[in-house]
Amino acid sequence: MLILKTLTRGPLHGYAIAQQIKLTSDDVLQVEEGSLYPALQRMLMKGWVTAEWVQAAPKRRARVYRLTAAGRKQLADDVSAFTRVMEATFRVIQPA
Amino acid sequence: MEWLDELRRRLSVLLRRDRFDDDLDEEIQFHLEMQAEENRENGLPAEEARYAARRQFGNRMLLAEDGRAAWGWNAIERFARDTKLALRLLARNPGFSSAAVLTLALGVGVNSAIFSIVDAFLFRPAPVKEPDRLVSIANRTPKHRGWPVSYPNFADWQRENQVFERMAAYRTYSFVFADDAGADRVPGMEVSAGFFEVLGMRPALGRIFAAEEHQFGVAPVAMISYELWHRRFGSNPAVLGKTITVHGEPSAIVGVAAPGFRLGPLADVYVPLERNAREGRGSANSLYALARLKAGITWEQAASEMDPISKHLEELYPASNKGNRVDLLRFGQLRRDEIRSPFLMLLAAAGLVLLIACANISNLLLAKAAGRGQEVKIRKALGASRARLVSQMLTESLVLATIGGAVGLLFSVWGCRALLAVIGDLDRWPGGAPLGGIGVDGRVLASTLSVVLLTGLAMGLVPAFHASKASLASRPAPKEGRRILDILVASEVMLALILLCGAGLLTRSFYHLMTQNRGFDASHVLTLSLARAEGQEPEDACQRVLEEVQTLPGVEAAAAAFPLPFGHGFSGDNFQSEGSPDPGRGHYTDARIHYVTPGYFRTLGMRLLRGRWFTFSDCGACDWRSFPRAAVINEVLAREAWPGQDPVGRRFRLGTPVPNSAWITVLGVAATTKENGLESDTGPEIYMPTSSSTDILVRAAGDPLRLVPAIRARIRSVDRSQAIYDIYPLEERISESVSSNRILAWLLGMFAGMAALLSAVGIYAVISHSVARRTQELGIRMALGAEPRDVRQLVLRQGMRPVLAGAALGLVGASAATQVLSSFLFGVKAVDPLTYGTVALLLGVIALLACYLPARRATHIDPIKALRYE
Repeated sequence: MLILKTLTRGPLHGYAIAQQIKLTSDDVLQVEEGSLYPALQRMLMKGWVTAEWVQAAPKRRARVYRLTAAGRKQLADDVSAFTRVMEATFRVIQPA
Repeated sequence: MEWLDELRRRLSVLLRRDRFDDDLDEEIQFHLEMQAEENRENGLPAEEARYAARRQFGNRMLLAEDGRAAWGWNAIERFARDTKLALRLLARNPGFSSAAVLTLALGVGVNSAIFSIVDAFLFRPAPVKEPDRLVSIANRTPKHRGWPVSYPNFADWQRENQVFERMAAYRTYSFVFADDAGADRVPGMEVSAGFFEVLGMRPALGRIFAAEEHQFGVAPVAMISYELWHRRFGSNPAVLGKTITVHGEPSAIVGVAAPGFRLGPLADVYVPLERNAREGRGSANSLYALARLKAGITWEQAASEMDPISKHLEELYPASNKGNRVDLLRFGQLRRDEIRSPFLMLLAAAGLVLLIACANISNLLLAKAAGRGQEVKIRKALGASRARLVSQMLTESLVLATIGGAVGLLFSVWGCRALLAVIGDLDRWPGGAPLGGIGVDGRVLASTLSVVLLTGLAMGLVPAFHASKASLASRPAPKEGRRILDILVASEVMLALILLCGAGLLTRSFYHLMTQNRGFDASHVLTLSLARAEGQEPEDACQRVLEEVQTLPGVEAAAAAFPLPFGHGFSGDNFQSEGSPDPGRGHYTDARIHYVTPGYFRTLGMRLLRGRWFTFSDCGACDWRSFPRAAVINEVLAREAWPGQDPVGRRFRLGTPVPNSAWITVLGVAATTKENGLESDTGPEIYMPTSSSTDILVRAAGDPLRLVPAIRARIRSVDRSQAIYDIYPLEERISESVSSNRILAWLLGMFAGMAALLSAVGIYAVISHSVARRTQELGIRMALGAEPRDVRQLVLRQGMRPVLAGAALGLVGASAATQVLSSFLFGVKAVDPLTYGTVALLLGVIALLACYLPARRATHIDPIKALRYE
């Protein structure tokens, strides 16, 4: 969900995704590289993101991931499910 | 459709694997460089920055591995890798591989070959239109189940029922078939209206019978088989409209049946049944009925409809139909019942052979696995899980099983043909369903595949678990490994012994059957049958034929008889001796009657106990119309009718007694013979004089078959239109009558032989292996002064222990398993100490030999070399 959300702001490569998440969450959330790349591969297979190579520097290419329509829908589903759970959790833990 | 897209994407990964790998790699590399750059910007030196990036990233290989896992092909790739490894291992060990593959191929081949035959007969639906809506309808009388039906009853069933779309009946019949080329006797069928329609047979040429051609009194027509068309008419389409003589009537050929079409026994000529069927209700239960259920009618509905019909018929015709009911059977069930038990037994025997083959390969794999302890330890040290190791080793055995199965399938194609050649035409029982071809087809392939998978798992499981147990910390316990080997050897011996016992029993039973006292001498006797194309025989034809044949040089005696010994058909009647009280209906002695010419006794070399044989003078002008006044009876009847008295000169009569029925005088008593069948106990028999029969016996001085041309010429010289058929030496008829016993003994013997061979190989492999592994130990023993004899004994003792245990278990198992054989045994009990003992001894000797070879090798171990070898 975090990865998908990050990608709503535009296409990014893997390293940038990790940095973004770290930045926006003020270092609270860290995406491990060990799970980031397998997750991206899974999303590729699911068709939630597409990937293309872009020239990043004279001798360097970066793989940039872009959210697809299916990915957006998935994100919306995830977010609503997550919100529902969080709201419920809040209701439980907040003092009445 | 989403999953479809996903599948497409996943497939593209599989197909362009390298590109995806490179991409992932490059991406990770890019990440590392970015990270390193950032680290540098934070003030780390270049080298340090790169290392830090690596550290931060973690295990790069693992990550790449996880990334790949997301593509979802890991399992398959691992399998492919394992398969490649397995193939490499097999190729590196050609001796082991070929032994294992051959063993398996033998086991699988035997199973597939037997299965392809059993399947065709027992399991496969008949290759006709909607076979599951076809029903065989049989008559159930108080005495018999699955009995044929008489024409009037069949016609009533057909008229009264509302559940069958169509009903038909047929009976086998052989015709004298005459055309310009000469007379010939061919098997045929009389079929009712609707017969071909029920089965959905389309003729290869011409048409099937029209409804009106079945009616009484219309011009006769016939259809012929595709095979006869090919054989006799050279597949010439002009055969339509030709006439052949059937039942003495020239009949027009209207059609040729589909190639291979048959329903049980071979039939070359088909004629309409109803034209000739004028039979009583109680007699001639000879028709096999079949029907096609109407759409929407269930089996139960049909059965509950037929039951009241049969009850109603019973009320109307109590004399003939008392207690008769209708049985609905699966199409072809009658034949299936006939052959099920021997077939299933053979299938089970083949299964046992495969089990032994499996145990054998397990043995070999285990022995090999012991040598792989090092490899397993290294792999474990590198982080392989036990499950991973087991799955890799199972893959190896599956690969082995697949190769063995493929070779086995080749064997089975050949084996199936060989088996059919040995078994001969099994499709002899009427009441069967069409078979279609017998051979290796899709069903056999599927069953073979499942057998292969099962064997692959079965033979690999034990070795895989055992080998993967090797741990880094401890040495494997050699004891435990040996115990598993011992158990496998013992079970092999056990299974082989069970098979050998079965085969031994059948062989002994067959030997007994063939060597028992038959009471007559069949050697040099020829049998043949005569038939005329045009109906009736001239009165004295048989007499003249016998006279002509008897004068041939090389002929010692000739006779005519009905029925022929080991022939078809029999005649029997109620017997009542003079002076004894009428025992009443249902309690008469039932005697078999042989109508024979006087030369019969001499031709068969029968033994006379009392009185004399009859001669031509005893019947005077006797023929089949005037009743004979004198007869010879057999020992059994003599004892039964006149116990303790001399029966010669006494009188008896036959049939249901009417006040003035003729008395017949006993002329002599013949010793008991087995001329009705080797397996059946001889009952009361009567030999009545007759002057003619269409079945002829000739005793020759030498090989009777060499006389055939001369006999044929003599018979033709008496009557040109005689068809001579079924020319067989009597010995051949006898051996034909017990062919199923012989085949069963032969096949089971073959399987048992294979089993013994396989277990010998297994024992040999295990002992050789253990000797090889104990080279050092044996060397030390010898260095310390053990004599070769001691070493030999040590090895032998170790080898024979599981063999003896297996043999003991096998004997117990055999005494249980061979109970299923008892109905096939003649003159031998299922638990026969002699057979068991011989067989166990035989297997013991084989096992001893298999142990002895490696044991001898052990004594040749050079102690110095053995120690240095370490």
